[in-house]
Amino acid sequence: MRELIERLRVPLLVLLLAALSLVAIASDRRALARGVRDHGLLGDLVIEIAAPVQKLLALPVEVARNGWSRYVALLSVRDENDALRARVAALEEEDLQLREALVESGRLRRIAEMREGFDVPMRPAQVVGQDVSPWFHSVLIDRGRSEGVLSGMPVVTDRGVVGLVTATAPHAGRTLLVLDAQSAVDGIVQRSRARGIVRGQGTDRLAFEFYVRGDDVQVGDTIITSGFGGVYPKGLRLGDVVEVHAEPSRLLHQAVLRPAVDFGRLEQVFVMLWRGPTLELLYEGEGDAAERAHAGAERKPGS
Amino acid sequence: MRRAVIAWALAVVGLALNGTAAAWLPRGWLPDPALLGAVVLGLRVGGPAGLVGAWAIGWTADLMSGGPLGEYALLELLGWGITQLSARRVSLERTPVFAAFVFALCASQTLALGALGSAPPLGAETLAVGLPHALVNALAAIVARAVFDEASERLSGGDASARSSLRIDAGAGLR
Repeated sequence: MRELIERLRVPLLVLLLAALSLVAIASDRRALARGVRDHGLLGDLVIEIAAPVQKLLALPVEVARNGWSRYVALLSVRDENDALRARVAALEEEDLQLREALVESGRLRRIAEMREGFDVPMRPAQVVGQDVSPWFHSVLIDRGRSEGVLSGMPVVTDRGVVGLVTATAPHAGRTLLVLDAQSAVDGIVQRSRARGIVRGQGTDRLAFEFYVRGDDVQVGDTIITSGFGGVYPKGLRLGDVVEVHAEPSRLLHQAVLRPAVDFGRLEQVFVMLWRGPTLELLYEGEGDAAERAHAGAERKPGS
Repeated sequence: MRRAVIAWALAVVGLALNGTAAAWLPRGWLPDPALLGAVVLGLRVGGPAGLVGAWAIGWTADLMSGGPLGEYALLELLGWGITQLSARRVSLERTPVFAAFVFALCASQTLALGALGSAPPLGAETLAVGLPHALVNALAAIVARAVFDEASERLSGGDASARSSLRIDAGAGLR
């Protein structure tokens, strides 16, 4: 008997752990479909530790890159050209700063316009880490529950929608990008008001699925959030149509979107301290009193 | 058990580095430390310790990723099992065989993720990410195996080397 147990120990353990994994996958998918993920204390701990560690790991590379571009490259310049090149470098630096100031002022203006457009308080956050898997699209941000950032809050830039906060720790949060295959957002065509679903494809493009009604969707159209899903407020930019796949035999057509946000250069984002009515109701039902008390965030009801 | 913990710790360091380096490298050009951890455990640590170690590595990857919780745990569990079974049939100690095995395992994981709906369906864009990813993993696995062997020899008090070396029984003394 003892020998049999000994022999079956590993297969039984495999079955047990596989079953546990499958249950976790099913329950996590269900939770994400509702817009909220809770990975418990362990999940909190991992996010809380990962954010500063990844920020710290990025530091030497950033310093090295800056050091190389600003100083090391100049060391190889021949002596007779030093003065001239230094002058050129100084002028280029000045030019760069002026350009940066112009870009910054333009960005600040767009941010100001965006904040006026949505009467919702926003919390700026830095992207400190990317997803560890090449198949999932999420980022780690350096703001969490202590700063009022809760699961289910939309994340945007001055260009448009970035994604949704799906997990938070006291000082960090994970944002699922709209690019991820698990993401779906209710959207409308700004010009024709045709409605559809914007789905992540797991690539750098989005898909807009819509029902055919004449020439509702055309290349160049801008797709914005409809507000119907109850997760994102209405009027946030999602992307522009670059291709329309219209097969007459099919009722549901698909358009390919170029995302409004350049995800390859995502550095600073804004968390909208607002949760849509759908998620608010869900939280009311499930009760996140502790999270709210901890966060103490100023939030306004859904628009 | 100690060697399983070493593999887990190495995988966690790799995952943290991955999360940082992903900002500068094209998608798919980084190895998957969770897969490498599971393969090395499958090769070096059998029984419940290796099994739980591989599962724990997958679970940690799940918590550090935006994917569904439990997906990598299940994949690494299978990865460990496949490595254990394969090591009995083919010589995974031979570097070219080992690299080819990891390439195939990584490609299978991509297909499994596609079947679970987490990776995009098989197409040009999936191949553009998946092929370099499998290739990088195949090469990184050789390094990971060497790093693990070195680390476990240093940290496990030399029991790894004792296992692989030839033992000569002195036998009874002559009278």
